[in-house]
Amino acid sequence: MITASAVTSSVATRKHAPPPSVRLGALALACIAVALATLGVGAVRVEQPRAIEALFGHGTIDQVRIIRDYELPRILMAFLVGTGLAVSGTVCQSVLRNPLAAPDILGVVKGAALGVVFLLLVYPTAAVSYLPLAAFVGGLFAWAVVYLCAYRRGVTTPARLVLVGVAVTALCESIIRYVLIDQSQGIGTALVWLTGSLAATDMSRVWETSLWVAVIVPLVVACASRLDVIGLGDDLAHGLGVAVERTRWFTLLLAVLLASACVAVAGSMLFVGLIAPHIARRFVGSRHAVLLPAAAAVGTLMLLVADGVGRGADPPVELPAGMVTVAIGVPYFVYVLSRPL
Amino acid sequence: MKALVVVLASFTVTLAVGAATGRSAPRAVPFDPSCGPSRTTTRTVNGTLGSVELHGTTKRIVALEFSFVDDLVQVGVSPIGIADDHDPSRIIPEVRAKLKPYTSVGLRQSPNLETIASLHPDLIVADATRHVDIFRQLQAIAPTIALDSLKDAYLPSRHAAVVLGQAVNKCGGMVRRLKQDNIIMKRMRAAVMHATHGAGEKRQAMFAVVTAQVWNVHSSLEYAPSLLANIGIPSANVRAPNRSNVENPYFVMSEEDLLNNNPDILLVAQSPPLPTLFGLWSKDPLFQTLTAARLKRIYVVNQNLWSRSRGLEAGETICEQAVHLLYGIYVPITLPHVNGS
Amino acid sequence: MATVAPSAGLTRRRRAWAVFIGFAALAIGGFVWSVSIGPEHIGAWTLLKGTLAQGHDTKQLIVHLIRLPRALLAVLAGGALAVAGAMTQTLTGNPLGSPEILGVTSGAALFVALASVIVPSLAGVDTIFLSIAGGSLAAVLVFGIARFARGGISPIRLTLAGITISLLALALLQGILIVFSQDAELFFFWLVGGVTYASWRDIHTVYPWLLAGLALAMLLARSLNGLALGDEVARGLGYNVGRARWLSGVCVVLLACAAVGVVGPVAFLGLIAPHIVRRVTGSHNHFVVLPLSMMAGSALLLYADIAARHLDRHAEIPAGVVVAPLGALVFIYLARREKVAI
Repeated sequence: MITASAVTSSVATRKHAPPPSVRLGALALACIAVALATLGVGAVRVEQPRAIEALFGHGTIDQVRIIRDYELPRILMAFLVGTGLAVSGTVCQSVLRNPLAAPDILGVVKGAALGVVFLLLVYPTAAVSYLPLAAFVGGLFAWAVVYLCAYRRGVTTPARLVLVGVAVTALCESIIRYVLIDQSQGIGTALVWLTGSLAATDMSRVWETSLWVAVIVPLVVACASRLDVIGLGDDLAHGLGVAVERTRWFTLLLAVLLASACVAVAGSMLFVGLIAPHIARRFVGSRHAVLLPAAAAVGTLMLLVADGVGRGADPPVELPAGMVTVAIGVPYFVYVLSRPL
Repeated sequence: MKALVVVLASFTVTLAVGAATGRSAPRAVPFDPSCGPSRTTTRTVNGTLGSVELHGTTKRIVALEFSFVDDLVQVGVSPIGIADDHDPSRIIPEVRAKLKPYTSVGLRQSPNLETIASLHPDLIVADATRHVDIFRQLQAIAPTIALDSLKDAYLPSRHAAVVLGQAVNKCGGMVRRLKQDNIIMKRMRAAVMHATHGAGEKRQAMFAVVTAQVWNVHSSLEYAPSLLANIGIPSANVRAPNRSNVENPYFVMSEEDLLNNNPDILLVAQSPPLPTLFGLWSKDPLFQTLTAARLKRIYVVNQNLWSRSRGLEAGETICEQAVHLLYGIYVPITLPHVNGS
Repeated sequence: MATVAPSAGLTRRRRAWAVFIGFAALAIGGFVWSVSIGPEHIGAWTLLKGTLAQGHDTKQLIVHLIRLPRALLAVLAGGALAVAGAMTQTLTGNPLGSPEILGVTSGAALFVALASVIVPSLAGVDTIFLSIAGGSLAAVLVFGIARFARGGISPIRLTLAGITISLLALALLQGILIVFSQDAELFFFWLVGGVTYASWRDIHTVYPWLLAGLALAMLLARSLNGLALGDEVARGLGYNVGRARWLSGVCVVLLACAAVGVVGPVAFLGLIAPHIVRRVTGSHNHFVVLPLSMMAGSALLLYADIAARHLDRHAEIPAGVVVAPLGALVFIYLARREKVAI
């Protein structure tokens, strides 16, 4: 539980360290640095100074095209999806008061996956441009089921939300497997989506996603102080005048919308929403006004690195970013957890 | 709840915009087998996911499935980029011998768009099932034609060959090659007739791909069985109607199902790692009660050739092997002389 | 519990026996039914002969070499997973515990997949060893993660850690299938879990581990009863809590991974069976719960397999397809009712 003492103590121990806002700035700079560093990494290698020049249109036509049409959308998408998933994860962890919560386990990601699998395999003649929509609807639907099942006597306790979320996740997963067995031909395409990848991105998708992120993230940040209070416990929050159930419902809805939108374009990208808030918290403390942007930065960094590694590891084969985040993230997560707080 | 209204409104707007931008499902276009009087300049080629306008002779071609590579080299066209799963040995030796050096563009399931773009192709040939989700991105690189390879029986695959011929402006050459293929198939049929003393092959053959975990049968809707049926070796009657999609050409069989089906001839392709179920089952006494086992009509064939390749030369090689295995007859598949057209 | 009147204890014991006989009857009924289903119509007398001896007649061979191992494996694996589930629930103090929630089954599946895809030469090694290695690693990770931050291991933390590791193992597995194998269709069937391809070889591979696991479980029954009372009370009563926990963990991994090695990662079996047992008998005594869970688990997997075979007469559908959604629904129901502390 993130108690008030924890908040003050974590900031207090950093009396001699730079204040959170400066650290936030450092994170943001790191994002840009890494983004530029991974520019040009891939099957077609473009060396560094040329890569940045190509961004502005100087260089061979090839280089400019590769950088602008392929690398740039992916990097922008990494920013968007990293931000979306990380912010969503932070909200989940705060509202559900559990450091292991994330949109993944609330049934959203698997629900979205189910929507996609359904569309791809049961209605293969439908336009593929409906895939993001199917993912989005699937995620929301799963969330609705979770919320309704967890709702009892006017309240949804965090514990129940988590458990029902886990159950719905498992249920979706089992239905997905059944559909995949039944329609074994299309497994390949579904599988690529299910693993989470930034590969088939283009600028139009970037614009669509940025619309979502630009609308929802500020809304979440606006709730920052309320999120701080909710972290103190239901009773205390009530006492301080915050409408607990309504805030919980609203912020979780925002988190789910964000996560669904991200999953819709990037596939089932797990783990970012779980680990980014943790790393961010170590850097800037638990005040949401700073934590949320920091988590966004960390999420972005994670995806930038994962996508870069995926592109450059074994060209021309691309390791899906979703797989790299897991492969690198889990050992790092365990390492982080083994150190004392 | 003003924020909520804003969120829902933007949702509706996005939906409306997405629907209005007319990205409807690509419609299947009717097959046009004619070469036409002059196809050397601008021509429209109809693929499964839509038509494409081509000018002049296409020289730089990227092929994303093995069957396309096979068909292309038959008319003397060597693609500059091939999705070979990063493993050149997956292309059958007969076809590899005819290929000039090429660039690998990665996995068939998710080819590397950057690499494809850097090759500056003037034509991309994609699979209508596998690449349906990246079709749009491929079209942005070069004129793209989608043909059925994965989901295809033998005769329709020849339509794909003709369309390929049209696309690379070697329509006449392809038609001639198909005539040669017809003659070879006639030889095969004649050999089968001869071996069965004019009565025709009455026994049924089952083709299955076997791993350590499953016994996966290819039904008569799939490539190899329909190919064999075309030269007079009927496929085992194993069509299993399944609830959602009658056309699923693969399905899983247990040992008892196999015994119950009791095919006269069994063609097994083993997928590593060994030992597969076939290796295990062939040791047990029940397996020996199979008609095919008692009469020594079980043949192990190469998975890569029989299951993955699916092109013109692959088809001829498969038939050559089948006739040789079943009847001990060697039918040469050297190309017969056909009047030029 | 010690203050209950003797007559109530007798009733409870009678009840436990009645339930045991009931489950046993169900299991036997399921066994007989399972052996009698198949594309080949086989008469009762041949069924009986085939169950007892191999014989030479084809039909008898079918019964003995195909149907019998299938039913037998369902009994063994179902029982093992159910016992593992019951122990997990006590071990973690989480009524929603099961080997899947601990991430054990996913870890086991991942290692088996790794072997057959990346390092085929490894696949010669007994799948069980791979399975156990993967399951152990997953369990260690899950416990490590669940310990994180103040508060220690709570049921919710453990559930979350487990499902996280499960999802991650699955993501890795899918990535591997894409990048290396290209034959993903063929592997997915196994991933759902079932007894379609059961053989005597599987049974011979697995039964030593299962017997060892079950024996260990029964030996630990007393310690588990102690653990169920809570750590302080248990220590006060003289139980070695640390050792009991550790041994139980080993036992769970042993049973679950051995089962997964031969039938694939069947989800939720270990969750449903112990709950049914606890509801029906009202007992929390592990000397009762463990054997009864075993019976219930066996019956469950048997009937799931039967149901799956009836779902589609022509195609083979793995039993996991039936168990998993059922389990998930039970999970939802339980999650709504249980008062689980954060």
